[in-house]
Amino acid sequence: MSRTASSTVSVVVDGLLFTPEVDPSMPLLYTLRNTLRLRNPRFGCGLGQCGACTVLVEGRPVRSCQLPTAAVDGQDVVTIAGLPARWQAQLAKASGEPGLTDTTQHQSLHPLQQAFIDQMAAQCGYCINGWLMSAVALLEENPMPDRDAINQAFAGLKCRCAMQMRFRAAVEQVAAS
Amino acid sequence: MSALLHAHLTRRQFLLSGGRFLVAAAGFPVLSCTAIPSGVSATDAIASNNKFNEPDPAVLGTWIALDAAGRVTVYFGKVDVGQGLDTAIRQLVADQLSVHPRRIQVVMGDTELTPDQGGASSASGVEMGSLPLMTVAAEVKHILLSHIAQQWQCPFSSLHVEDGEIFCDTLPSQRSSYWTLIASDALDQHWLAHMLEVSGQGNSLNVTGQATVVPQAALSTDSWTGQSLARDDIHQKVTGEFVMIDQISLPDMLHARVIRPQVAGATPLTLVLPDDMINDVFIVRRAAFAALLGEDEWRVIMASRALQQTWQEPAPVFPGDSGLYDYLRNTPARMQRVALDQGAVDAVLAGADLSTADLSTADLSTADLSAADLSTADLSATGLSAADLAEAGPVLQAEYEWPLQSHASLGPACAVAVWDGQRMTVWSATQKPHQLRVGVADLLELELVKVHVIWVPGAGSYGRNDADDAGLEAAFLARETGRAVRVQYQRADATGWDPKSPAAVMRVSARLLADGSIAAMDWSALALSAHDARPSGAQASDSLIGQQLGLERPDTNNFSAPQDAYDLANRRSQWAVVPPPLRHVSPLRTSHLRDPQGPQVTFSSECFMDELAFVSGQDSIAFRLRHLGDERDAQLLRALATESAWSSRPSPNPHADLRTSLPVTYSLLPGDNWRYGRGVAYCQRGRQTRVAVVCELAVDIQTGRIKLLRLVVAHDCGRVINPDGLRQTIEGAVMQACSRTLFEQVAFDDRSVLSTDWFSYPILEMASAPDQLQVLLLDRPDMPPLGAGEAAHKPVAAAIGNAVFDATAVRMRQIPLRPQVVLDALNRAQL
Repeated sequence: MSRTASSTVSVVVDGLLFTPEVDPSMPLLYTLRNTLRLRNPRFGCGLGQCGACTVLVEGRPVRSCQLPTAAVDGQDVVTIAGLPARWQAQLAKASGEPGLTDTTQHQSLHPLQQAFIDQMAAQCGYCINGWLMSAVALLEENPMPDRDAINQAFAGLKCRCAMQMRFRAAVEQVAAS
Repeated sequence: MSALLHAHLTRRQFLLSGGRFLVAAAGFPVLSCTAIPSGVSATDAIASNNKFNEPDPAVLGTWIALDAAGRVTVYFGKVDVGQGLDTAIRQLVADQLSVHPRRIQVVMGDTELTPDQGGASSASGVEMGSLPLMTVAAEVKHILLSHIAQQWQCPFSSLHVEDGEIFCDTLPSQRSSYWTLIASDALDQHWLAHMLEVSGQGNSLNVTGQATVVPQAALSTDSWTGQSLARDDIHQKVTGEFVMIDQISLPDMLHARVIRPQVAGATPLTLVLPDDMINDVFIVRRAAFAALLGEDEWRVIMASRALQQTWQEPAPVFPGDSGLYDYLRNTPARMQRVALDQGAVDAVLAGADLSTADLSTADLSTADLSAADLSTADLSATGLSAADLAEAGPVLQAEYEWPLQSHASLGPACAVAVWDGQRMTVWSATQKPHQLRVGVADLLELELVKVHVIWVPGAGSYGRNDADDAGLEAAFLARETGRAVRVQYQRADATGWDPKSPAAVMRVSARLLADGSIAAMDWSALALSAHDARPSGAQASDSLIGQQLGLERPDTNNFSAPQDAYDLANRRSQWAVVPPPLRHVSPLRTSHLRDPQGPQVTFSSECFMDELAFVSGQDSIAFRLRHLGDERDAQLLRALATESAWSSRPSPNPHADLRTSLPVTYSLLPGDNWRYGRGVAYCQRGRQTRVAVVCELAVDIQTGRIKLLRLVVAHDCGRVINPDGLRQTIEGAVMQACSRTLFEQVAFDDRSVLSTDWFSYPILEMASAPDQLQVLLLDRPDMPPLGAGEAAHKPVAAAIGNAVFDATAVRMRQIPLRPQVVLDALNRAQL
């Protein structure tokens, strides 16, 4: 339990490059929240059991409370604040028109963010990172998931306000479009 | 000069000299809950504190401010815990003030900005909390229009307002607006110092002015009331812009971890940090309370894991979860209350002695009354004749068991506090900031005026969770250290130590007359108190830290009884409170969790109604309808029957192995082990809101697993303000109740709580959600709006239990209905 020497980690978060000097064994959650002051990922359990701290690492939903910061060295991390840009980049890539990423378009929401709003898929919203990021990753991999696939993608996520029906409806709304 | 008048003058002077009015006129208040930047400086917070302000509900400007830019701010002494209460408030205020709700900002739960309206409490946010705000909105409109009527020399009645623009029917060329008036010199600059008459306090705080509030029923058809205005906060929540309590950060702030006893009742002997940590982390210990503090949050967490601890452990005090119900049955109650006693229950149920029967697991127990001597019983108060009773059935009796359940908010509590040597400022997600303020003053022995509590949204709470404890501990540590302190509980601090929903054993007895109607019903509960920690943080002795510092708490007893409109000539309901196994610093302390005691009570009363319907071969809805004495409730049940395509038949389902025996054909479940059934339950909440629910489900008889298929809810909470928001609120209440019914139970042995995370305290996940959930709103435009956040939570467990019986002919009288529990019951019944 001795103090681990700090080291520099190089990580892109929501499109910006950061090189914090941190204890490399410290979970990514604390690097994001306390070192980089990006406080969207939330502390829910510190045990990887609820999803409130979920971010995308290289496109995959990851519990940042369990992942040592060193593990994201050289990798791409996205929080919910980075979803609009991620969506614009995907649109641009699909169309081959880089103009779509211009700043006027930059702030439009990811379709799943819009679907969560349309379906009123949050009460307190403390858990939202887990559901939203898992939904994004699911639809990027499987644009037409059935309910089993949705259940699998959402397995382990908790919502004490019990908005499960609406998270599912939001995914189905985007899948149907 | 009387003190009261003096206080009002002081308040007037405040309004004139840089207080709310001028602050608001320059823009929205700096320290409103939604406007706290995550890096707000401690100096700013303290500077703001020095503008001492005790919101006086008698002053109009305490409640509302308008500015020349066309914005309206209302100051609301309640808080939104996730159900969009502030959106409904904006609609209600918009209609009284005749402005678009987008102009309205609702500042909630700041003890220096908002009057004490009792905080989030008892689903009263709309039903009671909106009343003074509607009054002040109507009053402001009245004052401004009176001014215009005088200015234009036109009748008051000729004026009308559209989104703040003022028109006159008789002077079509004249135009003005609220905002023009505010900007002009024409208006008396002290107009918001206008006085109101105050009545009530807390939840019932209300004011009366000169204007008349337009009743909902008299609002025009294009009113905001009744429209599904979208919530602004959802957008902020999915984009990460919404600021919550865990994001509050002050300069020079210490992170704190509290050290809870590993064994209930233990007190710390030695707490020693490893040598390599003492430069980064230090211990604050007073009496039995201890915490670790440091500037680096992760280092403090590491230290809490590395801490070498020895504790003075008492003899084990808990009965263990498997001994809980025997503990309730065998421990002498410390108080009893008869909630209802009409007719002469004992005369009808005379002779029944089932005290030795195994009521929790056996088939419905019956007592043979042939030996009982009814000839001497006085039947005069029963409304029944000796002949009626001679033909009546036996006394039927059953017992139901409900476990301890955790509040289990998704985020462990977090709070931030700063002490400047004079005043304490606490940021907290408490549901009741004004009451927490009293508690902080109590704990720290400070004058109340020296404490400022600012509510910031946190993880959803549904009664008293751990937020008040965290707020008190942050305040204590801030004063001890002289630094800003952030307390962030870990998951085990939360699920292990948060207030629990009380366990209960409930017994119901009844007899049916020959025609299948109820001759008498006797309901009783043996329960832990729902006020073992009272529902607000106002008493430091109800908190963990208060008790660890040596405060003694008094006995405070609370439970409840069935709430419905069954019109029974002979009926008694009574509850008794059993003392807790550990009086202070207990991880099993009990308090309010969503419709406190409603799920427990209604599980027993509404399952028993089904049991009575079953033994007499009656349809469950028809059986309820024949006993309902209130047309509103009867309409509700009939509407539910129609909405759910209920077919009249007795339980159990004669074709339980066919999924087509349910009105909706669901996707095929794998295997042929599924049995299908439907159940209904109904109740009232405080004689206000009425709700009924049908549950359709399948039970896997090989594993005991329950698969929810469809829930249909019929809900009558008077006038509907925001249909979409109401549906979402009801849905959350219903789904959370599904979670409690199917999964939730505090595990504990003789000395510790063992369910301290999401593996050991499972809640409902996506795969367990039903295929469909339908909500039918019975809007009553002629009625005021009533509470909605809790009522739909009550009947769900009973509807599920009744549906399991319909599917399997096996009666479940114990919660939670985890697969093994169901399977054991099925095996006992040798299905």
